[in-house]
Amino acid sequence: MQFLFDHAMATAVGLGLILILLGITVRQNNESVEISNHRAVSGRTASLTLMVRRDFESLSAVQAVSDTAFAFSVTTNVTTLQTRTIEYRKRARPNGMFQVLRLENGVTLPLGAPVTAWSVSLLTDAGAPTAVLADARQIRVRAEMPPAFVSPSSASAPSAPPLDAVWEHTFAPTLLGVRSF
Amino acid sequence: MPQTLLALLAIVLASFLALSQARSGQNTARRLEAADVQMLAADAALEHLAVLEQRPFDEGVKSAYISSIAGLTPVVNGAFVRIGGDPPGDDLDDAHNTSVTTARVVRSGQAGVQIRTDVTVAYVSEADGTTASLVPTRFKRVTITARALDASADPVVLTQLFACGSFCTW
Repeated sequence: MQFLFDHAMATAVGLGLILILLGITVRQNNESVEISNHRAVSGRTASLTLMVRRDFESLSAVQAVSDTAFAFSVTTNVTTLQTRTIEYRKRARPNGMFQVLRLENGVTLPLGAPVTAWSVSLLTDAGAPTAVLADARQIRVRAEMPPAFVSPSSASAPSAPPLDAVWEHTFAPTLLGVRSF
Repeated sequence: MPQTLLALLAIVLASFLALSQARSGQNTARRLEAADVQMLAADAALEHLAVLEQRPFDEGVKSAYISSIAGLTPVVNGAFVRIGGDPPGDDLDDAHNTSVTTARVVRSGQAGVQIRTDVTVAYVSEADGTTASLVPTRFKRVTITARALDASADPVVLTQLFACGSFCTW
């Protein structure tokens, strides 16, 4: 204690330096978490949407729509008009999350990591929502992905929780409502 | 006295480090946001392109096959000339010089980012598919530029070549 009092100025400067360095370290840590989070969410989005894009772009007819399931036909051969049926379902999981499932030929495949929201809606040619399957010309798919990690700063500040990343795409499948003459 | 100067120097250096780190953090946040916005712009451009893919190549082939170049929409001074009963918005070249602005959300609960997509359509040479042509050909190139109106991110440009195909019988 005597030593500290004898060197009061040096102690104050030392403490100030330690605080500044500590602040730098914490901020660098948060920045790293943010970057990792961004990459992880981008990866999760890509793994979810890769198959979704492929399926919905070749969609030829909508078969059934409900809050938890969306069944449709995909044309696999435009010459023979051969089709196959694919269904997307969302299954509730704990903590308000959902797992998106893809069903084809009795095979169920979980797509990507769990999401916080998943919806598929039908739109008319003009982009207006419709419930009539025959009027559907566009399909809007929306998914919300939770952050992969929570940084220490956001965990200690519950007023600003990390927000879910939104992926939304409106598909206009060429074979849906195809014109003929 | 020398110790005091050294202490001051240490504080100045540490403050400089802290400021640089704060600036680096802001730059990183800006880059991540720009990457997100560019993804939105790319999605908007792809959606617009998918809508245009559903349109007929030309008014002339909307309901019939055509047997000569005269059946295609003519171009005068770089602009497509709609002839007769050609309604707007029902074939590919009607999208030339049009813009659509949509709001898209990056994070749930946040305000949307305004994305504008601009479309240009041009006849291109049948020889290479890239050189712009001042006269009608059996190829049209559609270029879509998508940019965020209220965010600093580079625009996304997509180009696709459309062919008249078997509808042009010559």
